Amino acid sequence: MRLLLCADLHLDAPFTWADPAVGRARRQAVRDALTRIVALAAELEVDALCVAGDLYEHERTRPDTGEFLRASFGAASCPVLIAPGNHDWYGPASLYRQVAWSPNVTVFRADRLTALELAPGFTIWGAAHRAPANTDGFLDGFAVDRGGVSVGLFHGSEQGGFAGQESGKRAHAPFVAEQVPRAGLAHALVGHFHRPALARWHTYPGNPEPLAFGEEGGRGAVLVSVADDGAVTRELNRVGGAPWHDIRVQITRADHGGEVREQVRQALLGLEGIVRLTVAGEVAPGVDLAGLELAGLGGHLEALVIRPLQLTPSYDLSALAREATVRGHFVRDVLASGLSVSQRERVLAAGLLALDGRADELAAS
Amino acid sequence: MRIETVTAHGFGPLAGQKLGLAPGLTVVAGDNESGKSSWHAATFAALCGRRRGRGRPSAQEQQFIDNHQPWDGGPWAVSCVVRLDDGRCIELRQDLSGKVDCRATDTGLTRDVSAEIMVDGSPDASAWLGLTRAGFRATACVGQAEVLGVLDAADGLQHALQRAAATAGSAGTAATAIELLETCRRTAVGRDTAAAIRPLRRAREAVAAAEESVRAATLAQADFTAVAEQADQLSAEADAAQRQAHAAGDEAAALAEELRSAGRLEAPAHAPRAVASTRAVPRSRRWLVGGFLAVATSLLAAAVVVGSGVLAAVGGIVALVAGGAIWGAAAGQATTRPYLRVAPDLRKLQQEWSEQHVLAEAALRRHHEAALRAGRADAVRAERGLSLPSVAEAEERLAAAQRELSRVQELEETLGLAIGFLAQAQEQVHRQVAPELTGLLRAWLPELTRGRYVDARMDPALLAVEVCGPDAVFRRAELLSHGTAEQVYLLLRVALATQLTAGHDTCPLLLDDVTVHADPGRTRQLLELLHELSRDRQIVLFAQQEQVREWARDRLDGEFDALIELPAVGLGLAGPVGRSLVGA
Repeated sequence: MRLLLCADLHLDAPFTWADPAVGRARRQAVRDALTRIVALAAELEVDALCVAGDLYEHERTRPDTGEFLRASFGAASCPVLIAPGNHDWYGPASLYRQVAWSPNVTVFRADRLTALELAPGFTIWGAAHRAPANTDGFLDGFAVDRGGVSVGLFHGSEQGGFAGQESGKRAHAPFVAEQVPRAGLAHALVGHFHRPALARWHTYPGNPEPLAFGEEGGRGAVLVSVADDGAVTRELNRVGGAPWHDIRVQITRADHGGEVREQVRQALLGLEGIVRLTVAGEVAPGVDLAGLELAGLGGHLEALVIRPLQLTPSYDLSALAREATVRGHFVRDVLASGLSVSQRERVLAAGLLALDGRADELAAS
Repeated sequence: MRIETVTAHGFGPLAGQKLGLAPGLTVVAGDNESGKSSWHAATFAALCGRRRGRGRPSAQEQQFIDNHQPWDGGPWAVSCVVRLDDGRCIELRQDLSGKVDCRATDTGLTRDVSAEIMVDGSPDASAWLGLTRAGFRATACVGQAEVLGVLDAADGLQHALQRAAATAGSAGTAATAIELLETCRRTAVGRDTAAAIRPLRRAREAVAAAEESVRAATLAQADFTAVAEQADQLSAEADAAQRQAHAAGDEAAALAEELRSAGRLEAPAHAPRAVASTRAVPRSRRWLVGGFLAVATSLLAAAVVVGSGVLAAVGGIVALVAGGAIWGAAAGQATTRPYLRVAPDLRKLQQEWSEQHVLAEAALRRHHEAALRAGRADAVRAERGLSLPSVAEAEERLAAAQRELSRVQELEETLGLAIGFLAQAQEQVHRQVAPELTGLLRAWLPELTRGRYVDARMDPALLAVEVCGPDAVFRRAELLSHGTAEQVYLLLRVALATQLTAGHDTCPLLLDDVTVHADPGRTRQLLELLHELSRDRQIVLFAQQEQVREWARDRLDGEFDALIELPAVGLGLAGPVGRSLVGA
């Protein structure tokens, strides 16, 4: 059996690092990724397209999201099996209930694993989150009750690899990898973690289109081939659109804004797609940060997100700290204070720029 | 620290020349174009070198390059030998063009000590004084412009002292810096009051507005979801009612079939109302039913009117029953109204049949009502969907507003902290400096002014200097005669140099034509003062006035002081300039 697994598309999710215009484009990119996944399913001639939850965000669905999903999956040339997750949990007002799905679409509705015989001797066991939180592990107390090959499809948190995955995630429908074979499943097709994980007993495909920086890299839809004896082979297929780059330009020394701009321009050369830019480092005390224009350097990109400048005037603090002046006292006092490193840098820059008569630059930094 | 020699290997018009300096007061005298300013700059460069950094030089550095690169195009290099207070003799070599061959060597141990004073890539001897290059220039190098500035400005002396205290004179005063920060806080942050219009208030209002937008969008989304859910529910109810109607219709049809099978169909006394079908009745069946009814009606009419007999009557009843049964099977509800009369033993069956018709009718009514409501809910859903605000976009706007608020709040915190630290540092330094300066003034003032002024005091907050004569009336130092003000200023510069280099080597002073605008009396007073001050620190005075040379020839001894008379650069003299010792 050949199954194409995807998860965590998070249609209609906000992109809080971006302005709404970029956010709109990103949301469209996520839809485009789903379209490519459906096309990939046809191209690979899979036996089913499996969606392991968090297909959309329930609290943010747009009026046409349901129709988009209905049309997309309706166009699929294979069965589409959906196991709702914690963001698209199956409830009374769920899109899953409202959409008139085409006959090839199956939405698992129970909060326990239920069987769907995809082919003789091959069963998919799927389950749904029925609430946005506090969903128990689907494998707890579960055991396959039939012969043949069984594969699980659900949205859950594998606890063994939890520490290595995204921090701040709550343990939704937790399980440990060893529960998979104990339950009689040959493999578990799962969603929730956005970083792909092709583990022995389970597969996380990751979110195909990044939602945040740090999620760039290999991710997409996983072609899972299950042999008659339950052995699994996998192949990750990228389906994302424009590449993402989170770049940091470390200015070692710049004596005027043009040098900063040139270093940034060089760093952006050859890049395409979505770029988040951090400009950090030291510049000569005379550099006009207020007049520094960087947004225009991203004209060739789909989006350029510029974080607040982390440039500080390159004062020789150790030399200044030796001075028996107000400036020397100021530097020593600030360095000896209990302020955080970033606070110290900001306060030192503010005081020293002010002593140089250039406090107006602070508003731009 | 005392500078023993300065060698200009290549510096402006100077090439391969050496200047030997006395440990006390050295007067370097020469006419215009004799290279005084070049020697002054070369001395500074030999001590402090140049910043070694990538990128284009600053405007000040560029000016230094333009003014002092070798005229003959040779290597741009200077060196000097200094003796530190701890007795070490150090040779400093500064490669000013490549800035590569720069080093400080302890000549006694022949050891490279550059690491002790390496600043921005080249050795800087001002580090031994606790200063920076800029600080040394501002503290130890005094030019005529500065003296004039102090004399001409209303609060020039106080400002100069504040600058010196704040940044060793290399930048602004602490008070000005604090005021700049306060201004920045007013304009770039502003107050957080309802009437305020500055960024902080605007950012707060933007966040509040964005939060409200998110709330509104979330509510609208919830409302939309509820409407959708309601429409979905009503649709489900309509479907259920339809299913019930179908079931009741089917049940009625089955009962009718039973009645027909019993062959005892009669029109009931109170026949049930017909139930309209919700199913589409096939046209062929409608024609079939019509045909049966037509035959039945004809036969019955013949039996009654013509009296054709029992057979005709029986045939009519059979045809009627068959037509009813077909209709029931087709739709469960007849579009016609079959009036059936049953025998007493079949009344129960007929009653059930009637009840099923009523149930079907009620279910159909519910279906119609639910379908109507579902349709309305669908219309509402579609209408609200058109204007449904995007929760995601509202959240993105809120995040942007929160970022801006955080930025402004962070700036407010930074400015507040910087102001606090600066004010604290200013108070500490002023409290430290004021008594030192006052003490020096009190010690020197009576002698320098020949008793005209006998006491001095200083406001530690502002470093405002006041002096008083025997009448004990204090006057602001800026309001004194230029001669006295000059003396006070130079005294305070020396005191500041002492203060700012406290704990480090003694700071030499390099004075460039500071007497050029003074009348002969003031010039003599200044020279005497400098001579006195040079007992404790090395002073190098570059001067062009003949009066200064004469004074130097007359007053400077050969052991501790020196007069160096520079020849005109145009004479093309090369080699060591040497030291003209006067009075030896």
